[in-house]
Amino acid sequence: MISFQPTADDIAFVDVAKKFATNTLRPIMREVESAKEVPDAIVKELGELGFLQMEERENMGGLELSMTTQVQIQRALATGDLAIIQGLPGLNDSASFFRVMEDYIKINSIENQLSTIAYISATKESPLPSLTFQQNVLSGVSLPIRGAKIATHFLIAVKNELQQTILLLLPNNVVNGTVVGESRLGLYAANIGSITFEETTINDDHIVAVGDKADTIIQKAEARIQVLQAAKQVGLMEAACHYATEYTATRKAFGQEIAKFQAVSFRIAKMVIEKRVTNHFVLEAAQALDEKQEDALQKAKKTIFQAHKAVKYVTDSAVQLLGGHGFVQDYPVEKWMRDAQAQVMLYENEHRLRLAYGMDLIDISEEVVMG
Amino acid sequence: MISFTLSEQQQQIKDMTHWFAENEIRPIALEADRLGYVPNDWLDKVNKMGIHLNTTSLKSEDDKSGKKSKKEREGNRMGVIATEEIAWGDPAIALSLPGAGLGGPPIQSSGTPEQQERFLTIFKDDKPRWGAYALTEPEAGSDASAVEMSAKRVDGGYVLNGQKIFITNGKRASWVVVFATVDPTLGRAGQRAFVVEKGTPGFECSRLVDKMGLRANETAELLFTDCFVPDENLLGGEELYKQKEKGASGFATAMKTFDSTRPIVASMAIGIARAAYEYTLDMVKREYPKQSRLIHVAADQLAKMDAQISAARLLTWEAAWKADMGIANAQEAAMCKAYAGESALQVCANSLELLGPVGIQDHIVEKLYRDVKVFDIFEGTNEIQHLVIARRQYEPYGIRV
Repeated sequence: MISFQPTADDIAFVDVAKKFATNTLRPIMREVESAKEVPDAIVKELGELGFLQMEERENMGGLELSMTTQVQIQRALATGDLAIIQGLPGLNDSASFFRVMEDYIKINSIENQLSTIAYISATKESPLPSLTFQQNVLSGVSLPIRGAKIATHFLIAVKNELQQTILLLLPNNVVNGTVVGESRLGLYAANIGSITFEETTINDDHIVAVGDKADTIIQKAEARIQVLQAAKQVGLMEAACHYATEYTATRKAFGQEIAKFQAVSFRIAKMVIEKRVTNHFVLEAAQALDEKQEDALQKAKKTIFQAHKAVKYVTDSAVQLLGGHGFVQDYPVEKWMRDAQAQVMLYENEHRLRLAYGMDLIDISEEVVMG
Repeated sequence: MISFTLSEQQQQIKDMTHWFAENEIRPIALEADRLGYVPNDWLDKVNKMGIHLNTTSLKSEDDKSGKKSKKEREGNRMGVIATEEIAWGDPAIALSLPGAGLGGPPIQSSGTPEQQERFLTIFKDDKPRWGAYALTEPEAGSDASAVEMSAKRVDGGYVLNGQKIFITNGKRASWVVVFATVDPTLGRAGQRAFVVEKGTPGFECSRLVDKMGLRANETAELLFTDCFVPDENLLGGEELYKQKEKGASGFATAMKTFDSTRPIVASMAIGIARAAYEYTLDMVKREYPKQSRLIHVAADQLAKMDAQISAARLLTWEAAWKADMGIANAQEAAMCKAYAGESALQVCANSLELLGPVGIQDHIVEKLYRDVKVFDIFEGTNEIQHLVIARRQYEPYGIRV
């Protein structure tokens, strides 16, 4: 039965998350950006609230929440500050891998539940050289990833010389270096960096899955990651919509509040529609994943490319509506626009995701097209 | 609990209406467009099958008795699910189906029980009948508060004078819900809604207009010349308009109607977009060379179209769900109408471009493109929907945009 009514439990979770976002995260947003790291106190408090381990299975000490519940909480938290949420320690994106690998037991070797496992995806076509894996030797520099600076482990998806997918879990002591550039775009607190491997020999203990099994795990996990990330983007849009509406309701020009000019108010309406659409996509995809529906992976892909399009439009619009004030750091919207752009770049770009989705609709793979 | 899965009953309705659209509507779509009307024998046939375009339903016995039913209401959700399928078959034929049409919601929301019984129970299988809704005038379109048609109080009723335009099924309708003002200086508060029955002296159809699309559907201009309407046809009766403290007026009735009808109109736009998209997807799969740049372009466009259709549908479902729950849904109704109307046109236009020059003639997509434009106009233009949404955003700040 079609329904948009959250459960009482979800409402309670969201209420706690929203209060934390408003009262704790938002006020320190700029401070965290300057420090480029999330304060321990924030991490501790979020951990106590259970918000650091929502995706992890119960046998890993997590809450093992449904996607439908998680997306609502992530959305609420991200209204405070996306960069802080992206800079938290923990399994983060990797948690989705362990969630879908129900038979995987090696995770027990990760004793500290607050280990940070950064995920490196090196199986997709990339404009720049990334990692290579030949004869059990891993080499190269990864593309920039979240959590690189603080990772205790790396979960790596890579192709071997036979074009088989291999999923590896490596401790950070086998890494030869972390390249951290100077972040000026956005998500400063997200510990973004590239990981260098110089002829790192991989042994059997490092291999999590190979071939079709690895492909299946990656597909399922990435779908969950896409929907969770899209939910955070909805949170960011919510913040931007709210701020821009409040600003335009009070800012006067030509003798009246600028909200009374339709060029302004209609843009607000369009922002709100984009946010609402994305939120519905997120919820629909979350339900599809929870229920293991046949088209769940497709819905996830559609959700993330819609989220990318929408978050860029909404955050850009917020800056535009504030005019010159939007461009300066006295107001939060310029940061949100930068964060949104960085987020989109970390999680594949809109065009590429949409193209992949379209290829699925036509029932052909990109490889066929490329000849 | 949040869910986007159709219930068993909703799925049955969807399957049944799709079957009807595919097997009964689509085969005559292009011919009806060429003729400029839906053949009467076809209308007789579907009427006997019990197929009607009703945007509302009669109250159940529980509703009438004031008892709260344990079963969740889902008429609005059923309505948008079924309408999408019927419009997928053909929107002009969908709008021509017998039934109360857009005239139903104002009677259900504002009519007295006697009026609801008298006007909403005439749609029987002996012969096709229609209802209609007449708000727009030559000088009052988006600004519905500017209605000039006059309603002068006389003994036992009102005398109407004025003109209405763009009235769907206005000529063939057994009755028309008509909005007029008893005193233009009162603005919205002066508006009244009347049910004018076919054959009433002074009420005539002056013209059927030729249109860009929806050619098989009748769009009428109506003329009211010293047209006497008895008191019992004043929608809601005099008592309704005495409730000034509740803001009762013909204008309020007209606006409330939109909360029910905009999701229905949005679902029609979605059905049209889906028809164009599915036709084009099939053509691309069959005809486009697989190893060419063209396939990239097509894939990207098709992905955008698919997402737009899904987005419009989810917005529409939300508006319908809120209506079923009895939650105020003016903003959601405006959102789905704004998004569906605009994006459905884009989907049809992109479909045509993917078809290329062959799409200019003999393919249904060009017809769908002509049909769909008005869905971004009627029941409130795209701009009016944005105004409604914007107003809701600024309400907490005391700003009226």
